[in-house]
Amino acid sequence: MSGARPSELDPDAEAVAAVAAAVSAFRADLDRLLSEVGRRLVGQADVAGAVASALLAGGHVLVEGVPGLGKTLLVRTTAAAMDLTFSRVQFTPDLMPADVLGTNLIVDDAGGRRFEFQKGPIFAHVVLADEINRATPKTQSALLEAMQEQSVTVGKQTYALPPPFFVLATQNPIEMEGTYPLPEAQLDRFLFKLRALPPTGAELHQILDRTTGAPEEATRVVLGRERLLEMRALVRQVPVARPIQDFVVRLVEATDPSRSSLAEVTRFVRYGSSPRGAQALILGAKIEALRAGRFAPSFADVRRVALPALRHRVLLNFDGEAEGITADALIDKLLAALPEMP
Amino acid sequence: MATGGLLSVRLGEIRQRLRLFAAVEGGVAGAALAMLALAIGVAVARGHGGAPGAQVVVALILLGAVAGAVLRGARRIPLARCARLADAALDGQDRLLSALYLDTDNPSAFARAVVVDAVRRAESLVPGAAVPARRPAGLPALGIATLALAGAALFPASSRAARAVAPAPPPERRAPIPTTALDAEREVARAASETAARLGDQRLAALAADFQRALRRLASGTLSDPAALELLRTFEARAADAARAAKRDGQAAEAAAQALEANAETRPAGRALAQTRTGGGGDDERASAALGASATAHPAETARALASAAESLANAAGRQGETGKSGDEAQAKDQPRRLARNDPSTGASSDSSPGEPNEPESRRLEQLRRDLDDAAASCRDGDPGCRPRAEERARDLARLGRQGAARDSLQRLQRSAEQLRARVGRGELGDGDAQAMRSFGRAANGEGEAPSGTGDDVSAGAEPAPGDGEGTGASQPGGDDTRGSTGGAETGAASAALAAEGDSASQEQTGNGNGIGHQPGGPPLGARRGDAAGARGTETDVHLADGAGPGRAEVIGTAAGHGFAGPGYARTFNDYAAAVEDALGATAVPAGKRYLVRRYFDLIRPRPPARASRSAR
Repeated sequence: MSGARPSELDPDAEAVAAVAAAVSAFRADLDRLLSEVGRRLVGQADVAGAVASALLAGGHVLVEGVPGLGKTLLVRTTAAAMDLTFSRVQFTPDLMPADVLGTNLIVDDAGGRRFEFQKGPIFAHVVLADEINRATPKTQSALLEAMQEQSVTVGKQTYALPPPFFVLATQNPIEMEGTYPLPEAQLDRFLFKLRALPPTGAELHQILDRTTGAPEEATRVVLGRERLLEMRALVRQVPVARPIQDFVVRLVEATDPSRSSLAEVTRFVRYGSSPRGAQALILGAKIEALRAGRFAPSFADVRRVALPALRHRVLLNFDGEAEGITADALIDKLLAALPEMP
Repeated sequence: MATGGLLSVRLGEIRQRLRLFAAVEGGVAGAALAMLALAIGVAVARGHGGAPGAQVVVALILLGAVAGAVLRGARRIPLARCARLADAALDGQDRLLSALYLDTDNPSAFARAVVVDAVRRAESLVPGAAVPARRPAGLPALGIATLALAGAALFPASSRAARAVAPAPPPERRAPIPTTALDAEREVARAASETAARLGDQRLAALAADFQRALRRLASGTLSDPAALELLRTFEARAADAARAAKRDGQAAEAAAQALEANAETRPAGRALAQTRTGGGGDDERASAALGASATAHPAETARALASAAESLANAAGRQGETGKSGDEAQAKDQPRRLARNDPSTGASSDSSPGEPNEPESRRLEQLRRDLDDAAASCRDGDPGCRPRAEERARDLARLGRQGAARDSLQRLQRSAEQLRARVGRGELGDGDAQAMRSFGRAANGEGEAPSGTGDDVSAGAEPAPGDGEGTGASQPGGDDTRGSTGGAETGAASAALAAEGDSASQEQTGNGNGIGHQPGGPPLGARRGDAAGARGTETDVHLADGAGPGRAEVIGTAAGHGFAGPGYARTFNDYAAAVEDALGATAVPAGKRYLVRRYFDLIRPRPPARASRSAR
């Protein structure tokens, strides 16, 4: 069958043509989305692309970067371009779970007194959890549970969060005093961990031109919520060839110090990636393939998403911390050392 | 997996091309191997006077090439490899590889799309682009093999006569020594033999016979130089031991005789014994009769005299042993080479240090002392066996004196052997031309000739150089007797010259009595050197990682491993650790950072060095 021409694939030719059209539409819509975001946000193209990928994969993103790099603008613009509701929560040490999830209030009306659930800011399609490491673990875990379960339970009542539900959390890598870095188990729930880099000189010029002149146009809606869900569904249909999947499995295994053959991993790594790392790699590679108009991911797609998918899942031990080793450097070495096909 | 159609056709083409190139590689390698083997075969055949025909050579090369091509070409080439090559030639996005694996019996719409896309792209793929033609890697080896075969075929072979193996030269045999060259040694041996016969000393007789035998072998040329040197060195050591024993015997006999002379009743016996030491043959019986008469007439006085003789003998033997020992210790300091060169094969000389009485000798003197005591007790008790026992002891003392009298002959034998050994070492027993050449060679090397002065001169020349040999002129047993004598001078010169011909390569300063190879020698090259300067150094293995020095974790871990064991450190640590624990308990420090803080304090906690271990890291 594989050697047949498209015309010979009847009666499946139509299905193949439909797939090709769907992939083209996916690519076009995603390009439009990124273009619209890029119209408002200067630089951070990689971060914007990864945020869009996470949104399409149904995952959440942790962004690490100093303040003022446009993280809020990125999320707000992305939500606006897709006509999604957006809320922002500034995490502080005195923030309580109810401040995020919502709480039951006593309402006194004609029917008498009763409890009424007042939804918190988490009830939005896109939630920006700013400086998540400043809240106490209790509040963090309330948010992270909602991220995982896509629902909120208050009292005896469970409230489903509106799909698509997407959380972008940020944390400041510099100020560690008075912070509560996320435990490893909660870090694992983020699909990607991204690093926002400072703008270049040219980008900074562009930022100044845009923000100190006339007010900018409002963000245009380029995708609807329904279309986003369709695109999510399409991502799940992308097949992965066994050698590609095998490469992902070997890559994740190689991050485990008890199974890795790389000396640096056995010396500097405390825990390797969980299976969620492999899921993130596959989903990210699928979206990369669709963005490129291909029907199946390649080894290069896996390599491209390896850093954001694994860097927060490779936990260094004391030696690694003391030697100043970074997870990124270890993953780079792994990618260089691991053969694509054994 | 049911790969068919154009995709499988295209991958099949790529596989065929891969197989073709593999076969070419194998053919080249096989031909190269065959040509190398043929080069060896041709060379061997030409060496035996024949050569294979050109057709055979060509056929064998072709056979090797075909065999190599078949072996390499028949290897399995997976389609996945072909797909990877094709993808690399396209856009590197693994489209054909994915299609290969996703083309299942019941593919999804997406999988079909993948396959269709791959097929469409494969249509434009030229197999040559996926597997470009390349030069076989074995070509250089083939060129070398060709040259080797050409060389083996064209290089002119030597004639049979030239190729005939020259007969091995007969083993070098030392030329017979001129008859007059060993006259002096023969005379010494003859004199020693006569003295042995006169004194009835079997030890001297055996040594004299051995020396004569060695001289005969040297004169006949049946001994090589190294064998002669070894034989003479062994003989010299035996003669030196015998001379020391004779000296001890003589002094013991003299002390016993003097004790007998001190008593008026036994004085005739004592005088008779004193004369035996000069070698008088009939003095044994005279001394025996005199002591027997004294025992009969004055048993009590004879008993006292015998007891005194026993004590004197014991004292003399003991004194001699200590004197000889201390003297030899000093000698050993001056002459480290003799001790160092003592070889187990040299027999008795190597079993005990020089001058120290060997066990049979000591036992013999001790037995004689006891016998004298027994005889004294017998006479003191009025035993009828007093007289025969006294007579027997007189004969024993006379025999002891005669053995002591052989000392000079033994020393002469030793010196003669030593001089002869020196002459052999210098090559002075061969023909004159060879000797002159060797002397010239030594002079050209700056080694100098051995001086021909007195023994003292030689000794002075032998002293200062580190690692040099002994100044044999000053090292003669009984040095006062030989110092300054002609024999001593000759011996010193001979030893110096012999040493200059020695075998050790560690010697840097030669000549003037400095021997080569008489030191034990230094450690072998590359061996771990000992602490020669006596410094209390320790050796530490240092491990460096990539030349970058130890990492921070290693520094902390190593410091912790060695233990900050001082009480001041422990006090400081406890203060800080308590403060840190308080801070961790009172403030909201993230769990990950708590781990780091506690881990750090665990690493630097005070520990005794013995319990420290690297596993702490």
